[in-house]
Amino acid sequence: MVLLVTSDNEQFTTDRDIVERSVLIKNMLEDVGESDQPIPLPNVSSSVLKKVLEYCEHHRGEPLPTADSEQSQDETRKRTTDISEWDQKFITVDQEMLFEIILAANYLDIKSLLDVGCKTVANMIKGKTPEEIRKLFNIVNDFTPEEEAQIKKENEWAEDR
Amino acid sequence: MVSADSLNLDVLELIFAHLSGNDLPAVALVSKSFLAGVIPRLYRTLSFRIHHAKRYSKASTSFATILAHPDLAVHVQHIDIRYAPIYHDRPHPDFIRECTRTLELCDNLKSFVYTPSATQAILPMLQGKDRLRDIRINARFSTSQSATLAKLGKIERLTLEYGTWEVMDVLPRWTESIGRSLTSLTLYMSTSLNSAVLETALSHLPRLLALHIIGCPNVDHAKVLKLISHTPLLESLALNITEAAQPPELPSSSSLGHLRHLALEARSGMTANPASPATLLSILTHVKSSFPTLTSAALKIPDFKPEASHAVIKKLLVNHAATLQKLFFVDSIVEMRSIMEICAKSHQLEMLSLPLPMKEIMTFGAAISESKSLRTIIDSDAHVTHGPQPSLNAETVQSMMHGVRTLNRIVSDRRVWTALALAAFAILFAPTLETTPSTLIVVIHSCVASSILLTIYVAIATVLVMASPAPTVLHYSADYKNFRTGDVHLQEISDANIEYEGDAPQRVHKTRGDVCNGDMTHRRMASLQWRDSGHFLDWRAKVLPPVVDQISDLAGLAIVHMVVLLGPCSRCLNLFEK
Amino acid sequence: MSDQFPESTAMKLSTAKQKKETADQAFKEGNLKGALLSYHEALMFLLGLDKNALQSIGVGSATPVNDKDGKDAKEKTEVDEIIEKIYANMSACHMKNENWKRAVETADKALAKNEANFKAMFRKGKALGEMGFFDKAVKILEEVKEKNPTDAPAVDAELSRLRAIDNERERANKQKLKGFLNRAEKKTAAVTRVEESETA
Repeated sequence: MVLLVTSDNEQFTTDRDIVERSVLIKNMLEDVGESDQPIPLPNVSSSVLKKVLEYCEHHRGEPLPTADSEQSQDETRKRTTDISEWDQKFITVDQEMLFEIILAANYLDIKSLLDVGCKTVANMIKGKTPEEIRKLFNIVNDFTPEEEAQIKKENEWAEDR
Repeated sequence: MVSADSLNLDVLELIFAHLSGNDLPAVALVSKSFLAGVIPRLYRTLSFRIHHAKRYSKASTSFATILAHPDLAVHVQHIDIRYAPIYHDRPHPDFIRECTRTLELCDNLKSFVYTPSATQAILPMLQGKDRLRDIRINARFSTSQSATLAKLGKIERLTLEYGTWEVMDVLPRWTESIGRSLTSLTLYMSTSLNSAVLETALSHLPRLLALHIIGCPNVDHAKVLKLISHTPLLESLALNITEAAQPPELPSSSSLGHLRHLALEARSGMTANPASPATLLSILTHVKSSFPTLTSAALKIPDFKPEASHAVIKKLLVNHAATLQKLFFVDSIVEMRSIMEICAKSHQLEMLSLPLPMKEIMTFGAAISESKSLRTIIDSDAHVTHGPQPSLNAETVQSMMHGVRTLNRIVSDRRVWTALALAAFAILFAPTLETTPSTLIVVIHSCVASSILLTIYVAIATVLVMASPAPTVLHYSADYKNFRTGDVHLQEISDANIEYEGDAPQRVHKTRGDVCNGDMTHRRMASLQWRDSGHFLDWRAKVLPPVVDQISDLAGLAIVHMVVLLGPCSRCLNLFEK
Repeated sequence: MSDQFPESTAMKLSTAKQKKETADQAFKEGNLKGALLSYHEALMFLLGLDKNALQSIGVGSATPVNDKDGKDAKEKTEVDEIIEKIYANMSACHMKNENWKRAVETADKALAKNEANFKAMFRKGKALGEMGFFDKAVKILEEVKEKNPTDAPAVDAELSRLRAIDNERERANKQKLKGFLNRAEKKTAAVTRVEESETA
């Protein structure tokens, strides 16, 4: 059993093979072994960790993805439609939780969860204009009109016809 | 408050790596941090296609942008140039200059495609690129240029088009130096290639995984089959079949045990002697003698009569039906009985591409219902004839998908039809629609104007989604704007860019004609090549993502809800036919 | 929500620094396990600080300095430097433990933060050599020599050591192979003799 303690001081106990989906924690356990001392996770809150552990438990036993070689980055095998049904349901959360999950997955180095989160956000962006994207994510436009015009012109070649 | 603003650059980059096409420039305009996050992805591939060439004088090119901001060059990994703007019958000198100067800066270049002619100035720029692995080039070179070309080392995939004898001359020497890395060699339309050169070249390439010799009249299939004894690990093979005065002897033993992909073209256009079905059959036998686990096959047999075509298909099925996953027929007559046999015998078949018999589409639907595994159907009909063509409509597609449970994608006439499965939805609304309760399959085809309607319905749908049990909505097809087709080089599909050679998408017939001149139909055959190691399974995804992924789940659901809201039963599907 | 309380982010940074010091101390004393424990804990505090949190403690700019320059936008922050040092030191721990796989992994992480960390690069090369990846090891060690000439003597020493091991391995393999071949020959000879005697 492994003990984890979150930023809001909540303790979680979980099986080693569940939590080892997080490469960060896996490496620590490998290097240092299990102990009664809880592993501090100051950069994730309890509500988010709960969700993350839920994911890890569901995917328990699945092989961890291999290290990202240049190859897999290269080949645009980034199909945003291949999120499994369970994962889809899992990631249907409000925007704030979505970003929290992404940040937590990045922090804990859980590649598959990070992938799911990123694909979901990418799907939200697809087909939208810049203004729509800003509205969706509440982002402030920090370009001056001249900068905007220049960027638009310089990226014109990338636009589909 | 955690928001998109909290995301670090690394995470943003990961998110944007899933985007392509128009989404990338859109993201670049959102904010400064989004711009920084999308830049690596945006500049990963520089492409120059016909629509760029047509607007050369008016719009800025990617090369100009890189030259203006040289630090962007570090992100460039792929350069793909298919057309050069013309000026006084030659490639525009400004364009060539832009290209060469940009090339000079791009140290991280991994792949380079340049198919217009006159690449002399560009060749020297390819030197010294440590990461360059993939080259496809119009190889009309002189001796000195060929020597420069042959200095490129560590190449993994090489495609030479229209190679002159000077290039063929250096090929043996070159393959000696790249023998350790080269996995794929394609020689296309080279009249100078002869079997002596090919033999020497292949003797240096024992690790070759893919060999495609298309349109080289001096190297016929028999010679190639003999020479592949040098390349026992071959997984992909593409050949022209020709007929010699006396039937050529096929080698007694064959080293095709690892073969996964086979493409055969038998055309009379290229040589004086059209291949006979008997030759093709003997080749299939020969291939079978090594018992390869063939997973995909492509046939281009336009001159075969239906009877002959059927015989060939039958043979192919007898030999490989158990393992075939993808089957492509280009410019070939495929009879209904052949289709039936294909679907009945190939239990693993997932993708089928053939000229869709529009006039007998219902019979076709019945024929394919034999299949339990088919997922995608692609219409390879070039639709060259002008005039009104019968085309698919929602009803036909629906009935086809109904007949084959696994079928969820039909690509035809530059449209993609996909299936939406709403099990729960069906349970709620089944009585109002004349469909089976267990699965409701709705086929949707939208156009630009519906995007306004979409926003309204998304709102309604959100409410309804909360109310109804969770359906599994996945995709729906998109409009013309997002699906382009034309020069389909499956090998190079990157960023889901299938290039479209024409102006506005609405002018169907004109552009189809552009695509289908003699040269292009050759291309079609040659283009049925694919990467080694089974990435072909991703072909579907590479072709279709911008289309299929366009609208989010809610939007798809919205449309279906809209269908119901508008009341009338299955007839309402026809409302969408615009 | 690491940015809700900016003071807590500053606190995290100082906690992390403390833990690193504990770890460094443990390493000096030879307590490798203790060192690794504290290094890991330090990382738990430093990794995953989101952009806003970093800004709140005055580390890292709100927006990239140059809009178009992708590389410049990844400003090296103080946090990055500490993380780099931690990984580099962890690599040293693993080298001492002869845990070559982890040594390479942690060295790589250090190099990801700073390509020019030659200590980490050297450790990576050496560890790869110990794992038997001779070619890769030589390539990396040569790179260290090229980019940081002051390390040349150490690199050369390591290279010759590795070459010696590799030669020894090859010789041993050849012997084995010869042994097999000899035995195989003897076997076939014996079989033919038996056959001959049987047919005779």
